[in-house]
Amino acid sequence: MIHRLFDWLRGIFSRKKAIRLGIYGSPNAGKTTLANRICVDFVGEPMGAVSPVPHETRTVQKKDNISLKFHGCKLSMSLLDMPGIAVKVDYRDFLEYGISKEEAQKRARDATRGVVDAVKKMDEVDAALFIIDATEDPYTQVNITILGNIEARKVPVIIVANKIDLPNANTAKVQEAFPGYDMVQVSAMTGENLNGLYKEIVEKLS
Amino acid sequence: MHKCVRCNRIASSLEEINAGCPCGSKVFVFNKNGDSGNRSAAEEAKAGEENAGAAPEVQQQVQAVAEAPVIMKQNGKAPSSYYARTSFTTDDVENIRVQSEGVFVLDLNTLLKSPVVLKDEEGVYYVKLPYDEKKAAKGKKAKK
Repeated sequence: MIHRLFDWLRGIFSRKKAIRLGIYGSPNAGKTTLANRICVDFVGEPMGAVSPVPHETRTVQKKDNISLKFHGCKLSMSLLDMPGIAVKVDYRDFLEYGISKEEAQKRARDATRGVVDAVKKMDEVDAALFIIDATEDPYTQVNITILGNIEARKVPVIIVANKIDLPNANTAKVQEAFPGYDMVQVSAMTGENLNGLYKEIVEKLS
Repeated sequence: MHKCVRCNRIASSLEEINAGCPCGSKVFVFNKNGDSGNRSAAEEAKAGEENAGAAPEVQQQVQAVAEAPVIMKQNGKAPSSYYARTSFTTDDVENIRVQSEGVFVLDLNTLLKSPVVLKDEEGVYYVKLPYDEKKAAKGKKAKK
């Protein structure tokens, strides 16, 4: 009886606060696809819709009470799926997807607001996953600026080289561009090496 | 078209997307082509036959992709603005420029440090004054 009471009290006092894990990256890097994978794996339901049209996520999406369990370790977290960060938002990028000009211009306004929100939220996250599309050139102004600012805030960050299921993925180039960072290569779409990512998250953040 | 991720029902209107699917889900996946979710049985069979001739490891990959939740499927590529570079100088006070209706250029570095300052096409500046709601709420409580 006393043991049970002691365990209960120890459980209360040793309970860690959930960390806020932000998912950052450029538009169409696969942030929401990855967030959905994590949510489906640990909560049982996806987080948000994905689309081939850039800037599909235009507001910060949050999922609380995610308990990431991996090999006996447990990490409580809130997941924040950020809008894609870009230095230029041009409505003409959306027109090729069959969206009307007015709708595309509204989408561009909302996407710009989303970028501002995502940038401002950087002060509120405890850790970050920075998603890079491994099929694209990683040396972009967004990748360099955002990673530099995350590091300057001393926020732990894991680079996730995504889309390794595609034949032109080049994760070596991503690692070469950002050599000082921990990197995990995954395919959020097929689920390839997500266990490797979960292991890295638990080891680095718990 | 927009398809419900839970029951695969195709939304018939924007109102339905906003209100949510009758099954209770509010998550829809957008399909640009609008036809992959409605392939006929003959088309499915043809695709299956094509896959059957592939090597076992390719078949496994095809199967894995087919079994992935619909919401995970995307064939997006980086927009042209992915590689965009901006050239703001220290003399610039704005961190968002409106080049034309629907075309915005952002200075991420100063957005991280300063209030939002927007410059429109005609050179008019707009400043969003910072307002800390938490501190304001604390101040009100202290006054009481």
